[in-house]
Amino acid sequence: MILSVRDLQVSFPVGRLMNRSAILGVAGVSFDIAAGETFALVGESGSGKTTLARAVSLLQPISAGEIAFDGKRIDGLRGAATKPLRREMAMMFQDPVGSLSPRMQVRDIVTEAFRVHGVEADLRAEADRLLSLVGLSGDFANRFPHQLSGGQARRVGVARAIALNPKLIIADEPTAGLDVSVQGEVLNLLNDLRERLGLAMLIITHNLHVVHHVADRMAVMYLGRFVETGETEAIFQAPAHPYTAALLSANPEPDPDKAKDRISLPAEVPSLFARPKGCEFHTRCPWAQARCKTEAPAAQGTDRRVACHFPLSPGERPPAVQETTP
Amino acid sequence: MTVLSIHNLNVSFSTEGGDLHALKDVSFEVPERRIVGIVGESGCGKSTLINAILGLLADNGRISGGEIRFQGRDLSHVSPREMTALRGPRISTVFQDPMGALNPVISVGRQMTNIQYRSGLSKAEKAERAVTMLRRVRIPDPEAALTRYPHEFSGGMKQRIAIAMALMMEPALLIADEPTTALDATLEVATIELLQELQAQIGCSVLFISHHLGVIAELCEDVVVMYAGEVVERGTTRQVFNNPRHPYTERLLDCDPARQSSRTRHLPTIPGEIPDLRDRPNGCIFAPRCHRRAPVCDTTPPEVAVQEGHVARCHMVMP
Repeated sequence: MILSVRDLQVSFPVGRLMNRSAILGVAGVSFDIAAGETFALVGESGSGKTTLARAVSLLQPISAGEIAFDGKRIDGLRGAATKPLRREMAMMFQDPVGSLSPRMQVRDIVTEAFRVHGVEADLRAEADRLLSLVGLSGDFANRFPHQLSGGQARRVGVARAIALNPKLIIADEPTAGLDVSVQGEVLNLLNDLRERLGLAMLIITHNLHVVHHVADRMAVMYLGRFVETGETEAIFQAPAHPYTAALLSANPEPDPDKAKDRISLPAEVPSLFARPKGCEFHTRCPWAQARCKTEAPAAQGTDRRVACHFPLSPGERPPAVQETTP
Repeated sequence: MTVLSIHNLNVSFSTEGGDLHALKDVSFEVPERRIVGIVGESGCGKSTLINAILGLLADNGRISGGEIRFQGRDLSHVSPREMTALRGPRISTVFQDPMGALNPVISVGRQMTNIQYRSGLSKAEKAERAVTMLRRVRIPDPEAALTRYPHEFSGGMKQRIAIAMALMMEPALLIADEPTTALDATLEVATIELLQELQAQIGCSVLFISHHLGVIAELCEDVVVMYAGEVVERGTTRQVFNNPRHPYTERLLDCDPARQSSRTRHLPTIPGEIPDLRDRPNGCIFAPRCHRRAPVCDTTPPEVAVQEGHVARCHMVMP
């Protein structure tokens, strides 16, 4: 395994001196990513996806759990000790233009890693090689970030991430804000690199259509926990957790004649300050029963894990539709 | 009756590198009580179009031809004062970021009563209307919500409050510019359903701008496809999505990963880039990227009527 995460927790302190407490942004998650595999994290904003990615890349201290990279524990590493790891694990951030230094030329941006890690190389040649890998011509080397379109800036971000041949790329919303025609280019590029260089990838996105096409396995996050994990195709075919089923059914599709068989959820997501008792999804779950309000479900299964007392059978519809009072 | 009718609209911006022709011969209509979608990628002129309708073009921009008729009046010639009177009560807007519409230091109730200053109602009546409107957009406990400030609401609720404010004066036209782009899938669907419901109740027309094809298909009855400042195809959503005739529309629909029913590792793309609008090519604007390009495409393409209400601006379309 390239990456193994066990019972990871990230907590944030809240409150002032006398009534200090903590909320859990990530509340105990476990997963593995194998070499060459693409693993996707999906969930609504605030579900802890980005916090989890930051914790895995040691940008965010963790409060419990273990992270192993390529068989070695990395969760205790601090400061200078994390530097060798940065060569093997690269990060792509959300904002394609904002994550590039505005005063550096593209040539310096993509080769910065060589200088930071003291790797001897012909930087000019390396810049050309990296830019051609991501499908940009050599003239881009002299440009500044503001002279790039969103798709081009994203390609530069990819070139920078793969500069030192990492084993794992962590990509936070790699296609957010891109047009559909450009989104395909970036995803195809990541996929080509995965095939050619054997990269493993952790992709965070809320675009489920993207997940379907690029991810081998996926995890669905809700309030900092995984409610369902498994093979992407299997989950899309038959979601077993009610939240996954609702997310998949809420995906607007570009087909005006498509029958809309929606599972609608009350819009309000519970606050991390007041996590619901029992199963944390019961406040929005159309299938919730008495047991769900008192007893938290443990994740069941090995390859496919579902944290639900009453996992759905394929195609199962919610019981009688309850009208919510306005 | 047509609420908004745009005919041969041209908008230019003067820039250091010469005149930038941002909108070229744009024509379409928004009929009464209908939801019309405008779809297109970055740089297609969606925002310029809205600003032209609202009379909010930047100082270096001007309407260089054509007309924008709102309920029969040509907006390209009304005075700034008259335009101010129209914006809000007759034409209102919802934008992508609800915090741009809400003042962070004034309570929601105060903002909602302030915008009714033209209504001539008493203070109590204004507050009453604000509560009714908040209830209609499903804000829980609306009376208490009036005393709260925007930051105390979640992103989805803020957008619903912005919608409530936009519809409070019962405008004839609501312009919604990517209002669901910043929301998650479940909230996005809830917001679309809410817009549909309120539009039907109030009986206004909606001009809905989005680059998200799924949302357009879900919400809109008609759709206008824009590319590089031109309308390349328009028709009912069914006509355009089920039988796209302009090569750009075809390609755009192909690119959406949601249209690929079976799982694929290689997604379709549209090679090439939008041309420089300071130097528009003669002939078809999409020709440099088109997979069906022919010699005739170097001349200006005609608008071809494919069906009643469905037109595509392309040489290669047979009626």
